Amino acid sequence: MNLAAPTMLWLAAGFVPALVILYFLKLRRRPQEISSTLLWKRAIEDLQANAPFQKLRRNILLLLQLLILAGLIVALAQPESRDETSISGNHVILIDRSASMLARDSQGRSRLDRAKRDAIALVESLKESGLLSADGAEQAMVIAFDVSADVVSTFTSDKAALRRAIESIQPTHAPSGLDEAVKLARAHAPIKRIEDTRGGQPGAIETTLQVGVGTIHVFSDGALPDAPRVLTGVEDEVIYHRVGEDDPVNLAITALRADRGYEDPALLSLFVGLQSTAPSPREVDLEVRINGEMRAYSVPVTALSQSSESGEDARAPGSGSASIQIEYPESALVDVRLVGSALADDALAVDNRGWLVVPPARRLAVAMVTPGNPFLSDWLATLRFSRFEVLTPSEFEDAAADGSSSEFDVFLLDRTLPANGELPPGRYLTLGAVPALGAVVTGTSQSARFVDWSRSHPALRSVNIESVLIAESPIVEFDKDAGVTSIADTNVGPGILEIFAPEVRAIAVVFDPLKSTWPFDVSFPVFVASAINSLGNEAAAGALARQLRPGDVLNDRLPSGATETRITVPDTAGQPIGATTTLTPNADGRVVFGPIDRLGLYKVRWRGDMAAGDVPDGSRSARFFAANLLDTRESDIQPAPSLELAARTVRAEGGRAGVIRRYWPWFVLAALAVILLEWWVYNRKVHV
Amino acid sequence: MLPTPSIKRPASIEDLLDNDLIARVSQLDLASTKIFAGKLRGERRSKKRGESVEFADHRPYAIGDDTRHIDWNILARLDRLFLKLFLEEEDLSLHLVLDASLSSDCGEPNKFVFMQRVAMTLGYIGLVNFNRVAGSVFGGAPRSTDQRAATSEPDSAPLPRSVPSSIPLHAIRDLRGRRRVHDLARFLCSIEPAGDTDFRESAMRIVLSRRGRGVMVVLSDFLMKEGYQDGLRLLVGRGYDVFALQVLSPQEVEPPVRGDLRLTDIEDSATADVTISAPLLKRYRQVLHAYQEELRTFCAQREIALLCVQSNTPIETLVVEYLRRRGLLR
Repeated sequence: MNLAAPTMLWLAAGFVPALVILYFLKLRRRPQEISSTLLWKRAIEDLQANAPFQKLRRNILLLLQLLILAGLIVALAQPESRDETSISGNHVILIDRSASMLARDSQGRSRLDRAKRDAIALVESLKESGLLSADGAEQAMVIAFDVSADVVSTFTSDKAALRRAIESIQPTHAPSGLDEAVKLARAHAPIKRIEDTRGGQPGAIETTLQVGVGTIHVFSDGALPDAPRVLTGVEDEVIYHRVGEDDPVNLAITALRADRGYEDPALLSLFVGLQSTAPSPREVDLEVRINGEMRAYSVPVTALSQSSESGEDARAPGSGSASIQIEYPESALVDVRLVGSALADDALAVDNRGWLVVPPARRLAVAMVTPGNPFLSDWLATLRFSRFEVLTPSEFEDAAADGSSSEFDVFLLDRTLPANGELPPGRYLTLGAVPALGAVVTGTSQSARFVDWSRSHPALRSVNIESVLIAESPIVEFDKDAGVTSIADTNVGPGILEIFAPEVRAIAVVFDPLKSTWPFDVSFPVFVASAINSLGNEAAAGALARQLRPGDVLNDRLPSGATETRITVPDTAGQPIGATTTLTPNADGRVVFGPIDRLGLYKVRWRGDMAAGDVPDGSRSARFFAANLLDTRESDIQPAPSLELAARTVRAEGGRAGVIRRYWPWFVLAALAVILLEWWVYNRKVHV
Repeated sequence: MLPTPSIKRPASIEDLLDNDLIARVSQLDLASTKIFAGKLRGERRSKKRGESVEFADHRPYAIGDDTRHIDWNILARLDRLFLKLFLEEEDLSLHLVLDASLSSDCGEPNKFVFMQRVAMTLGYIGLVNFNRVAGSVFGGAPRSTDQRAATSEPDSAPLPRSVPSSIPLHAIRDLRGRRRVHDLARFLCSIEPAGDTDFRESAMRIVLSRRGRGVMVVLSDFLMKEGYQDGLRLLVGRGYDVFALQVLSPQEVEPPVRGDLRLTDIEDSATADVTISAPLLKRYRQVLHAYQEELRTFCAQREIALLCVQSNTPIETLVVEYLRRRGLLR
C-alpha cells in the first residue's frame, strides 16, 4: 500500500495543533442563576482535585477527534495498493454490444447493463491525479464493438466523460467480433519515436515504434467467433471481464429458409432451425405470419437439450427443426416467431424472431449456349422451365450485346465462353469452361476423381459424385478473395467452383463432363437441375442478396431510373415502419445503406420501374430486405470461461484483479464511525 | 435551586395555615428534651419544684422551708423531717428563626414560603398551648405591599446598638395566647427574602436580644458560604434547646440543569463554570450528602436536633410525623 497524494499528510501538521487549540478554547456557556454555588464549587473542586482521571476523561473526546482527523487526512492522501501484475497507464475498455449482450439475467438486467456497470466500476477505480499534482492519472478509452467497432471515447482521464461515454453505449442486434475492436484500440496506441544518433546527426528520426496500448479490458460474454484471429501487442495486458450468468436458457431461431417447390413453385417450404440451451427438451410453438396475416401455423417443435455426451467441457446447445409447407404463390413477407410457455425463462428475446422475403412463384427462363450437345439440350427441354432456348455462342454474344440476355434467368454455357472472356451480368452454369473471374487454369491432369464436396450446397445437396472418374481435368488455381470458392474438390484441385463476382454469379464445372463418366451417373442431371434452380431462384428473388445480417451493409441494385428512393428501417417489432432515410442511387442504380444494426424488415421504395420480385407500394415500387440474426454462436449465450486469442488464452477475471484498490473510502467511513462514537461518548457524559 | 419563576407569597393566615392543618395540629404541644424554667406558670413541668399536684422528690428539711410541704408520713415512720417536692408547671418559650436570604427564595415549591408555613404552624401550636412565642427573621426586607404592617409591629425589637446593623433583622417577641396568632401571621407575611445574610452576625443579635431560655427552631437551607458553625454555636451556647430544620428544594437535591453552564450565585453573584455531565451530577450528589452529613455531625455534637426536609414535603406530614418523632412536638 502506498499513498497517491502523500503531500496531504502535511495537512496534519496544520490541523492537529488547530484541533488541540480549539479544544482548549473555552466553551460558550449558558448563564444560569441558582440559589447557591456552594455545592457546585465543591463538586468542581473535587473533580479538579481528581486531576489524572479528569484529564483522561477529557482526552477521550480529544483522542476521538484526533482519530477522526487522522482518518480524514489519510483518506485525502489516497492510500491505494495495486496488484503486482497490473499495468499502470492506459486502459482500453472494450464493451461488447452485440445481440447476445441483450440476454437478461435472473434479475432482469441485460448483460450490457452489467458490462457497463462493471466498466464504470473499473473507471472509478482508475488512479486519479492527486489533489495537488496533475500527473500520475491513468487514462482510459472506450470502444463499443459488435462485428464493427466504434470509439466511444478516446483516451482521457476525465472519469465523468468516461462514465457518460459508457452510459451512452446502445445495444445492437449484430453478432460479435473482437478483431476490429482490438485493431482499433491498437491504432490508438502511442507511437514512440526513436532517434537514431548513430549517424552523428542528433534529432534525425530514424523510425517509429508502436508500443503497447496498455491494458485491454474486454467486457463481453465471450461469444467472439473471431477471437482466435485477434492479435494483441506483446506489451498489452488483456483482461477478460466475463459478463453473464452461467447456464442461461435461450431458445433461438438459428436457421430460416424458404424454398419454392421445383415441381410446383406455388408450394412454399419454410425451414426453421432451432437451438436450445435448456437442460431438457422443450416443446416450442412456432407462429408464422405471411404478409402480416396471422396464418396460424402453430407447429410444436422439440428443441433438444444441450448434449453433454463427451463430458462437462464439451457442452453444445441442442437443436431442432421444423419445416412447413404452405400453398402461397404470391410474393410474401414471412414473419416467424417462437411462442409458448417454453419461452418463460428465455434469456434472449431478439433471436426468437425471423423474417423472410419470399419471391412470387415463378418458373425459370433458361438458355443453353452450346456448340452442339443434343443429348443435354433435349433433356433440358423436358424440364418445366417457363422458357428454354438453345443458343449458339454467336447468338449468345449478340444477345449479350443488345441486352436481350437479361430475358433469361440462367445461362448454361456448355464448353463455351464469350470470345472476349467477359460474361455479361447474369447467372451462369458453365460446363467444361472456367470464367476468367479469379480462377486461372495452370495445367491439365490426365486423371482425377472427386475427393470432397460441399454437401450443403444447394446444387450438390443430394448427389453423390464419389464414383465419377474424370479422364482429363484442367488444374485450376483461384483467388479466395475474389469471391471464388470451391464446392467440390478433385484430387488435382478444385472440380466445381462457385463464383461471386459483382454482376455475375456462376457455378463452374472446370472439366468437360463429356470427358468423364459423370453424364452416365444419375448424379449429373440432378446436379444440373439443382444448379440451374439454385442460380435461377436467386436470380428471381435476389433472395440471398435480400437476406441480411446485422452488421452487413445493405447493397442492392434498383432498376435504372429509380427516383425518390427511400429506405424505412424496422421498428422494435421488426416491421418496416420505423425511421425513413432518403437514399441516393449510384449511376447504375446501386443503393447502399448501413451497416444495419437492427433485426427486422427493411423497405426500399422508389418511384420507377419494378424488377422481378418487387411489389407495388401505392404509386411506388417497393423491395423488402430481411435482417436476421441466425447465428448459432451468438444464440449460444453461455458465457465463455476464457478468451482464446491468437497468441494467448485469457481467463475470465473474477473481479477487478490487477487494478488499483483504493482505501480512502474506508478511512472516510472509519472517520464517520468515530464521529458517531464521539457523539455517543459526548452524550453519555452530558446526559444522566 | 433555581429561582422560583413566579412566587405566590402568603398574605394572611389563611395562606399560611389552613383549617385541615389546624384540626390536625390542635392536640399537639411543644416539647423539649431539656426542661427550662418559665416566667409564668404554665402547663409544663418545670425544673422548679413547686406547688403542683405532681410529686417529684423528697429532700431533707432545712430551716426556713415551708412547713406545709413536710411529709408527715415520713416523719411518723422515720422521725426525720423531709420535704415533699412537687413539680411546678410552667410555660415554654418558642423562638422561631427564619433565614430570609435570597437563596431561600428559590426552588419549586419556594423554600421561604415553606419556611413561613412551618413557622406559622409551629407558632400556632405554641400559642394555643399558652407558650411564649418569639420570631426572628434575618436577612430579607419588609414586603413592599405590606410595609406598613411590618413597620408598625409593636413588639419589633429595637436593634441592639452593639451590633453592626448591616444585616436586617426582623423580630417579634412575647406572643402568648391564641389571640396573638394573627400577630404572628402578620409578622411572617410582612417579610420577603432579599439580599445576603451573615448567619453568625444574625445569630449574635438574636442571642443578644432573646431573654430566658427555651426552644429555638432555626429554619434555613444552611447553604452558607461563611459557614453555619459559628451561628449555631452561638445559638446553642445560651442554653437554648435548638432545633435546626434544613429546608432544601427538590431541585437542589436533583438538579434539573443540563449542558454547559455558567452558574451564578443569586446572593453574591459568584460564578461557577460547569459542564453538567453524569459524573458531575453524581459528584454533586455526593457533595450534598457529605455537606448534610457534616451538618448532622456538627448538630449531634452540640445536642442540636436536625431535620432535613425538602420544600415539597407536606406541612402536615412534617409536623405530625417528623417533628413528633424528633421530639419537638408531642
